[in-house]
Amino acid sequence: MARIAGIDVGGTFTDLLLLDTEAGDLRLAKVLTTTDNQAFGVLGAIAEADVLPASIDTIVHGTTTTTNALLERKIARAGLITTRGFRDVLELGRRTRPTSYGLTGRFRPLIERWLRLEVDERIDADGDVLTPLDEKDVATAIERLIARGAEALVVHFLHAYINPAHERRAGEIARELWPNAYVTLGSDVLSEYREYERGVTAAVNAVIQPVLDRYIRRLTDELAAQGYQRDLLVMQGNGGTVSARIVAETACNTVMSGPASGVIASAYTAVAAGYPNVITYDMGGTSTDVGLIRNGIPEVSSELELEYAMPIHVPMVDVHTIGAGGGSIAKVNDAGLLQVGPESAGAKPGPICYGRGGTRPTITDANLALGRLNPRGLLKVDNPVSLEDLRARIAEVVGAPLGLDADGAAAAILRIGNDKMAGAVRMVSLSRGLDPRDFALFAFGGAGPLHAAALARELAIPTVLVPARPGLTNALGCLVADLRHDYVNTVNAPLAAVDMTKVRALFERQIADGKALIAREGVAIEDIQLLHAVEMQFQGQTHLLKVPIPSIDLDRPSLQAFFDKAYFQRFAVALPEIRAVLVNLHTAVIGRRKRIDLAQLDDPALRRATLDEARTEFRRVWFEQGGWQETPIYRRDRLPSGAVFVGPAIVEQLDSTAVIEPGNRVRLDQLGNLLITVEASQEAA
Amino acid sequence: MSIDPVTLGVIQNGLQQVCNEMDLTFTRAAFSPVISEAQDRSDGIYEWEDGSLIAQGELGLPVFVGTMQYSTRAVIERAKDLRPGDVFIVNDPYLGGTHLMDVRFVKPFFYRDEPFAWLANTGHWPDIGGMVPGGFSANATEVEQEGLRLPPVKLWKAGHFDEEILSIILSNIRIADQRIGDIKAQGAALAIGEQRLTALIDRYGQATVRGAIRELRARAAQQMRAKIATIPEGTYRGEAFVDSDGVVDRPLKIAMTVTRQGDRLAFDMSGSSPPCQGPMNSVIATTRSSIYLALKHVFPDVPINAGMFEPIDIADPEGTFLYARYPRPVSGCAAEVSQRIAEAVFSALTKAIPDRLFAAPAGTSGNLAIGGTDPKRGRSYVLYVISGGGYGGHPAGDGLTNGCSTIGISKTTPIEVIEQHYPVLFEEYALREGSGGAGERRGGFGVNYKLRIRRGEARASMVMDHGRIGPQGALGGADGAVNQVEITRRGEAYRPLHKSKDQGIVVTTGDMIAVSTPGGGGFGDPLRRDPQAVAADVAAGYYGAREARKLFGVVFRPRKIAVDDKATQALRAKLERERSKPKTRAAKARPTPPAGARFVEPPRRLRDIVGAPIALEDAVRRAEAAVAAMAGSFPIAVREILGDMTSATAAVEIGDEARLRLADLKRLAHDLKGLAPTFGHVVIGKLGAALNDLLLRWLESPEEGDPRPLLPVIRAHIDAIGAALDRNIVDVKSVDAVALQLGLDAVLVEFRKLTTGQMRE
Repeated sequence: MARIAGIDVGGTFTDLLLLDTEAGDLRLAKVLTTTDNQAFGVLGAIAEADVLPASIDTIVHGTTTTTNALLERKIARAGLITTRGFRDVLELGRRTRPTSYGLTGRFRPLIERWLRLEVDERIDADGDVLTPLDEKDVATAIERLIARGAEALVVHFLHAYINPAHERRAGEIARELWPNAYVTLGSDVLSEYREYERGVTAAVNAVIQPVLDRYIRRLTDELAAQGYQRDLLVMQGNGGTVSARIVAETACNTVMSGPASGVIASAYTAVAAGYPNVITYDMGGTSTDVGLIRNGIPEVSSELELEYAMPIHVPMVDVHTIGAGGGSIAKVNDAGLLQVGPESAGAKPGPICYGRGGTRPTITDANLALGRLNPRGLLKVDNPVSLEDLRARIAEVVGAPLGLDADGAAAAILRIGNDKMAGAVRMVSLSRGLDPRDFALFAFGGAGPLHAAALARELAIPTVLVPARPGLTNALGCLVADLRHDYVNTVNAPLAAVDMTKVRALFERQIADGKALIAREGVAIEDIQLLHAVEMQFQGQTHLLKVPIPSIDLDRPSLQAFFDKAYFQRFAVALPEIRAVLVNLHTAVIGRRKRIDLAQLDDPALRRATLDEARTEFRRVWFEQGGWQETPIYRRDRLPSGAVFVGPAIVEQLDSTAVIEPGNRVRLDQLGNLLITVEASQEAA
Repeated sequence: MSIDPVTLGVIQNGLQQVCNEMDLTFTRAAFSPVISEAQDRSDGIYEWEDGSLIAQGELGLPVFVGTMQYSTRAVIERAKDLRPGDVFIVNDPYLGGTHLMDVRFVKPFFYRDEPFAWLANTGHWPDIGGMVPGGFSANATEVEQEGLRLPPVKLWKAGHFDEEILSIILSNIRIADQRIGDIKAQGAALAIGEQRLTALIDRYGQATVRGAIRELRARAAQQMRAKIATIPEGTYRGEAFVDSDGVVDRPLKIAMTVTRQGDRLAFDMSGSSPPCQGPMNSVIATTRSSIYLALKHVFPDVPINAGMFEPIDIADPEGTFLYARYPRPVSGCAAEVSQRIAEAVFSALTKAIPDRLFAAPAGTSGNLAIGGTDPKRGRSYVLYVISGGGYGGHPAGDGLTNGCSTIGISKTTPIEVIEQHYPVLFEEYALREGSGGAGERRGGFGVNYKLRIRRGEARASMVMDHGRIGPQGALGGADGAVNQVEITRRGEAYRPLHKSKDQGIVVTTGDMIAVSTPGGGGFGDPLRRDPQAVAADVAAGYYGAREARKLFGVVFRPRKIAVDDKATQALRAKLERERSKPKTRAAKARPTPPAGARFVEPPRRLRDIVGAPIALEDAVRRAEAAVAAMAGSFPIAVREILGDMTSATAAVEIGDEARLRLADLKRLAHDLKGLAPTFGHVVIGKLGAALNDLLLRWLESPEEGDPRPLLPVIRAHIDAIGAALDRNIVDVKSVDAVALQLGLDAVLVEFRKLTTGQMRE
């Protein structure tokens, strides 16, 4: 495995990192994403890196194909076969509305009602058959769905998580009659109770399966045509990869793989840098993703809701999205208060500085107006807007109603924007019972490093870590991610009544399934790592607590002890008088790929001997502490190894800009990370 | 001092965050699912002097908009010797509370030993004692039956927990052993609030934070006034009905008058029904909060603080069921009456700003409780099934299907979870076809569910609503379908006594409970709905092809779901003609009123003729034309009414839903009172008015009297009205008119003799 390529397709750019692990040679490429067929962008990136596909040993690919297909509803027509009386489960949802206040909203089921058919069958909560499966009903329903043009099929029966016999039998019948392989059984995708969530997850899988399959086929064909015959791995939302050969079987696992690979890269980098506990802060153009890494392991959750009433309950890296990004629009509301976001200028018209007709000030515009972003960047766009015009526009739209000049208005936009993001980061950590002060802030994405120091100050986070390639973090995630498969089974019985041999058998089955799958993938791995967890609750509760367990050698008292400890840690309450319930068993089977050395991301040839040589200029930059200051601007790749300096400073690189506030102390570590020590503002608690 | 706008924004976020963190702490540490899952709780910061709202958590249950102001005020009025670390507990509905299950903790907040503000939260306890577990009795008649009532008392005194008060509480509620977890969580939330607020003031300084609070209040008021200014000046009326109070099967009316004058909005509920015997009375805190909540649903971006309420005047609805006094039972006010109050506000505002409104949502919490014993597991259980329903159509789209109650945000419990815990089996959980009210934008659909008792005996109770009148349509849209419950016991169908409310129905193995929840109201004229949208609805099975024809005037090609455009146009034209028959040329055209024009919703009978809504400028002229055209049909209408009255009287006599029939009679008499003078028949009008008044007094009398003595009086009035019509007696002073009146007086004297003491004069 000498040459490995990580290729991540993002909303705007397709990024490539190509690492020759033996020669230590690194190549980067950034091309525009080709929205209609992402494969062109992928091949374009390989060409841009000036490398022959045939000479690459492994390609790891992160794609937004499935996420986009769902959000834009460019999905396949699927049909549903379900238990008689329950075809509307997928449409009725969980009795919700999109927002607490306001009684309107839109919802479209993934599978339309006329494509949802019922058959006679019923299994109860104990797994006992109450009504046998009517196989003739199933065959008739399949024929009708084929006639109605369904391309994919979902079989979803009540309580199939405890007894999948009917689903499996219906699946057998379907595989004989269905014209293709797109048959999804609810209990295969997710063996967990809650009929709406399991049903929607299965429906998600079905409607994107043909889309993903076609895309992957096209990509492998194109790559093959250029001589690439080796492993193609695809990123999943759980932060692991899977072979392209089987990725379409569980297409739903690829949803939200982009944010996941960012978090995986963060975990890898942060651990190597000696910071196993970090909050990841990925600020892009329209939104900001926040994730949590504890002891080097990203938090994983099975509670993703991709959009209103679209839960996808397979385990995924837990990323919380905030509606604030560089393009967030600033406006003064009718109470005379400044608001930043959630409205975004997007890519078109974009911020004023893009010169594409945008007239409403955004966070990016405020950064430019205050000298934090290089004003020369303004000239690179098609129809450049002058800095004076930009500042005048900010003064007019935001300054005038607030009685502020351009400086004050731009500063206000940053302050309110940062305040909002800091609040969201605080809530993300608090809702998990964690204190942000116990973490480092890992900043990436185009805009993360611009705001990280201010956020850390606001949150009293002592250290900010900016990785070597903040704008290519997702592609790095592809390089470092392991193969990973997650399994969940529902037990749902009081701990005292649980048959522990059965629990062990279920865990062993999960392990065996995972290992078998990895063997099928045929990808070279170093070893297999297993992560186990249980989800538990106290009798009478409805929320679950996920409790990691070190191994499956368990007895009831040890399980009780793990749960009690985790519960106390999270809620500071001990409830010895109430019975604990074991709900779900969770195993992640991880096929660990060869580690790569992050120092190889750095190019020592560019490093200069002194800080002065790394400095390109002095520029006037505005800071909250002390206003306008003559500030040194450094080029990131020229900073001498082990450089140490004190803010104010701006560190520029191709894909990102880091703001170092006055008083911040900075050190460049051996892996090329910037470690920024932030003086917590005295007032922050 | 003046505060720069940026600091102001930051402090606003800061105060909000303090409250959100209190919400989060409370939920995360709470034990009961009703708090941890259903989010039935709220946290906020209140002014030291008068308890006005400073900020409220965004994660709280919507029904609590502004409510804790009143309980905090009650604490302020009674509190003595306040010290840091004190925490009051209070749930008295008449002291600013809601229902007894909502228990408030109120804590004085001191900054560096100086009083600064109050922190308060409320949590719905799963039990507070009383005659039924859970507290929702469908037929309690006094508050003592509903549970333990706590005046403000200190549960923590200067930081020391009062075990004695706790022991009194725990001795009076069910499942007491689990309550301590919730009590600690509720206290912990306030402690977090105290820490975070202290940190905020440390950071920005006391004077700045105080100034910001003042300024933010002024800004919110300014924002609310700006919203009010978008409502055309005028008075708008709306109404809504609660099915019954659970004790007397008679609808309760909410009459809502909304007046926009200058930059203020006034709400008047006089004319609403008097206090009721059952638990559907609303305390003033809930009544006011329901109006605030309705406004927040219409203008979601106004921040919730006392400033939002400043430009709003709510007249105390004295003498109505919306201003309950001790000892009226109130358990239903938060879950049901509150939603009906909000609907009355929506229905009034639809006439003012139709482009911003929506037709009525299902608006009931659909509470079904089944309590019994599972012989297989050898333990008793109480299962709550809470259901949703359709939301109303709105200018931008159709209503949502199966939305949560207007006042809540909780998710439904999965069937797979219910079946794991309780001996019941669902046989159906389906979209309720046809339930969404027809309209240009149709209502969302309700739910049909059927559940069967698998083992053991149980008792079913329900507190639901909209069983009598469906959620109102708006601007010509049809009402959503009504809530229905049917219980099949040993093969025999049983319907709850009060349609949507009943208690203690015994069910056993094999029995089935079927519930159909309401659909949302339609918005706008169904004949204007895009035929392709109707086709999609039919393809989905939301409506049948025949229904589509009848409701929306859409015709499909034979055996296909393809719109027959020509036939549709023709049918719609025909339906429109029929709808407005008889009518004059003036009334024929129904142009869309220009944007921004004011609308009036004519009374029902007139609406059938002239259509609705009509632009105000046009209304009078069109109404006059319609009246002129109708002159010939007046005698026919009166005969129809008299016929209806006669059959209703017969029904009263045989005791078939006598009260309801009397209410019908009253309505018919009221129609005559209004209709007849329009056509010059003043005598008939007066006779109708007299009968209306008499029946009104009888119906509002607190005692359930025997209605039969009324019968001769009613019949005498029917006869007199018939005579006046036949002989064209129109002059009140004519000999004929006086003779009619004398005849009636004789009957009335007899009647009074029989009923002395039975009626309130």
